[in-house]
Amino acid sequence: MYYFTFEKRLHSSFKIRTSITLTSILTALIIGGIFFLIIGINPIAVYKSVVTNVFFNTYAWEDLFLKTSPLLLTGISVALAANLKIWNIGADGQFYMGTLGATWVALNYGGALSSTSIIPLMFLAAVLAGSLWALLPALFRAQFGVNEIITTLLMNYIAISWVDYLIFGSWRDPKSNNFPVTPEFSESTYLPTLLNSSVHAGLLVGVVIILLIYFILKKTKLGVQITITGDNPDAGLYSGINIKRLIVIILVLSGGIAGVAGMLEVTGVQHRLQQNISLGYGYTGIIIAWLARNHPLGVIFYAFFMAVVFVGGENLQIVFGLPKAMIDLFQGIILFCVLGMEIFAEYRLKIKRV
Amino acid sequence: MPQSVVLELKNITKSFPGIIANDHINFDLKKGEIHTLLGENGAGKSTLMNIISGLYPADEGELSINGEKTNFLNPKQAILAGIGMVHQHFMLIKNHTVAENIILGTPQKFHLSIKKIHKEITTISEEYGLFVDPSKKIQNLSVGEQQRVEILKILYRGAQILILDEPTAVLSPQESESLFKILHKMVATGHSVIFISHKMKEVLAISDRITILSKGKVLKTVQRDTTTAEALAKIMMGESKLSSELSKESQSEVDIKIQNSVNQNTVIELKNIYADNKQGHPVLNDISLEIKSGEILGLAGISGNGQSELAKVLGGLLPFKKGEYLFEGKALDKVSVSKMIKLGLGYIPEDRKRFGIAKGLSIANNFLIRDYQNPQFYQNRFLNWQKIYKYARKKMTEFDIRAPSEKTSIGKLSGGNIQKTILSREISRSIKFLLANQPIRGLDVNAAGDIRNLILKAKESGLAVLLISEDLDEILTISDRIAIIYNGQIQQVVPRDQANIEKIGLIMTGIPD
Repeated sequence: MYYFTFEKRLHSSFKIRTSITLTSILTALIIGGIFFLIIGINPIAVYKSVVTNVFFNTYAWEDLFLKTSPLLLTGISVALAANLKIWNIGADGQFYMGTLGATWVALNYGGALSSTSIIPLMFLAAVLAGSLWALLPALFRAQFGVNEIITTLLMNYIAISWVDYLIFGSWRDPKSNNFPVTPEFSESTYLPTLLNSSVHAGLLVGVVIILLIYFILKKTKLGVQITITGDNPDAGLYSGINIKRLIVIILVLSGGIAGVAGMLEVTGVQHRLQQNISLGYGYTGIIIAWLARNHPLGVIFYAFFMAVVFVGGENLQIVFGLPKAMIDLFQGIILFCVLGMEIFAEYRLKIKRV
Repeated sequence: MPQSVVLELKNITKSFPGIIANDHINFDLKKGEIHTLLGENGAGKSTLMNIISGLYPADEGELSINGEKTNFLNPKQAILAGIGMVHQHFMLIKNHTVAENIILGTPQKFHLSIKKIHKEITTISEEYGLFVDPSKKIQNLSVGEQQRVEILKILYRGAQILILDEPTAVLSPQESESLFKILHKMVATGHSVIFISHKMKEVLAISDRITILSKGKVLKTVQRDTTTAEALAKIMMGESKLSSELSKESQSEVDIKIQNSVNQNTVIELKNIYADNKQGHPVLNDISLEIKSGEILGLAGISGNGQSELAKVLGGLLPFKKGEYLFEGKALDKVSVSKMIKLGLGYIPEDRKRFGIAKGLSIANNFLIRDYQNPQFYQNRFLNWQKIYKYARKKMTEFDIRAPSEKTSIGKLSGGNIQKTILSREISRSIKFLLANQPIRGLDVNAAGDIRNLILKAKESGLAVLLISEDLDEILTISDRIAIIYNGQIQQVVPRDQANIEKIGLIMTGIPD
């Protein structure tokens, strides 16, 4: 008789953790492949098509970077809060609020101000709007211990409703034949692009913010407070750290960062506010943070990886006529595999003989 | 009156890695009696009760219920055999009603007749005076009422043998009184009770027999009628006098050190401090004490008499209601943890794994707990990890902390190495007062010796030290003066050379001088 037991690992190094993450992605690809088989498509053809059409195509590369930009920000937004063991499920809502803030500035001052003054102004408005959206859950969590997973999640639906309210109402473009979109922004609001491509400077903004967060976590007093309290709140208490204040600061900062992602999307890509502008970037941010184990530099890598999933999914819609839901399904499988394999980071599977 | 034996333990032995929790324990419980288990923390009471209630099996020995040999494999079998336990920390679902909590886990029909269940519960509660409304939610009940629900839960399942683990620890005196009445009613109807406590007064008030446990062994079982508080205290302290090899060994070394301790200025002074615990019960009632630089004040007492709260007040974790807290002669108007750190308080917390460390972080990172503001770790206002790693390495050699590297996560170290890390962190920055709460509890002999010596060194370097411990041996070995706490009050402070173990033991158990 053979049986399986779990044995606690003495060391769970970076190497082990990374290989577990990569194995879980591979597992997800295999399970995804089974789904393709079920609907009668050869999975090898699917993955081959993704590789050739995503990596060997200039236009697809541009698209990859365009998708990476907001994901960098929503990913770091979730990862930052998670370093304090605060789960910001509301990055999507904060993203929407960011689009709202930036749009308000663009619509009101777009024609009147030059690029150099309006872009910082939109940035500020987006940060403010995103932070504000995180402030309420943060205060409730800090003061009354209300679970932020629930409150941040519910705030998402309110944010989406606000955007809908405005684009169906007072912000609707009169020339849009009743489509729920705002008028196109004036050109002064457009983000500068990189190297003659359509890729906007938001990619750099994302990387800079991630490096900044990495620096804060690693090198500052605030960072130490987050690390200690995140690992053990009681040790934080005993270190004299004001935990309530820390929760508010971090969750608000996290919201502000997600807000910036929203601003990038309206000013760098769409140049107007429209429905479903997020594509679920906030939720994908959660997966990215998990894959990266909340490490800022990991976020860069996995944000790019999730962009591949997005662009690859779009390619499948065109080539194989698959529904968009396939991307969501695939994202779900990845998250499922990563969470399911988490146990192997701490334990080793042993086969024993009786 | 007590007749047949309902529960009998013969030679029960249970060991855990590094410790024998129960060493050939013999114990029996008769029908209709209250049999108390008396002993300090770590005496093996909980292990014994967990064996009886089926949480884990004994390594050796026999357990018989009503004369029949049994061997419980899980708690369910123990419940079916009529054993019920009320844990110190209640096992209730807060947002469910009393009735729902009581029937949880009992066999019921698919369709629940709430009315019938309420009636059944009311019948039991009226019989024993366990008054509580079955339709109320647990969260709306007082602690005393919640305890009644726990007892009802057991009775509803038809338990004949009840185990109560320090049931009065969370109760007010009035609530305790009514609990005792309930217990008397239960034994009158043929139930049997194992009562765990270390409050001498109540033990004497309600027990039929008393078994004294220490370091995993039964010291003696006595009839209530033939004993006195003094006699019990003597039995308990008797073990102390025959103290372990180790303290004898270190005695001579310690004696020399104590001689050259010169008492200088007062570092800590408390004047008439009052404080409440989390439940809102008063736990510190008029505490006054003084600790001078270069001395160790040992705080002796049985746990639950206010030591934890006193430590928290001193550390800034618990606010006090009345009184004065002076640090180097200056009264503190607002006490907070960070303020106390800045003033120079080193603090070894009672629950070292819960408060003292962040398990998932590296040893180096753990040196930043309570010390993250220390300028020596920074360069141009930013953390310099090379300095932190170097510092951690230095401390690891200095204090003999054994680990593969300073980057190893601290949760993987042994208790002794964890405690050395905490102690080295706390005494390595410039402090004036070291507060050591149960610093050697649960450590192996060698680590305990190391910690003891480090505390002595800290004292020699001029620190004021408060050593809180339940272990009289430990206190007598290294303290200069001994303060005895009982019921939230300092009963007496005696210099070590005038200390009389028996007398201290009596005062600790609340028997006036």
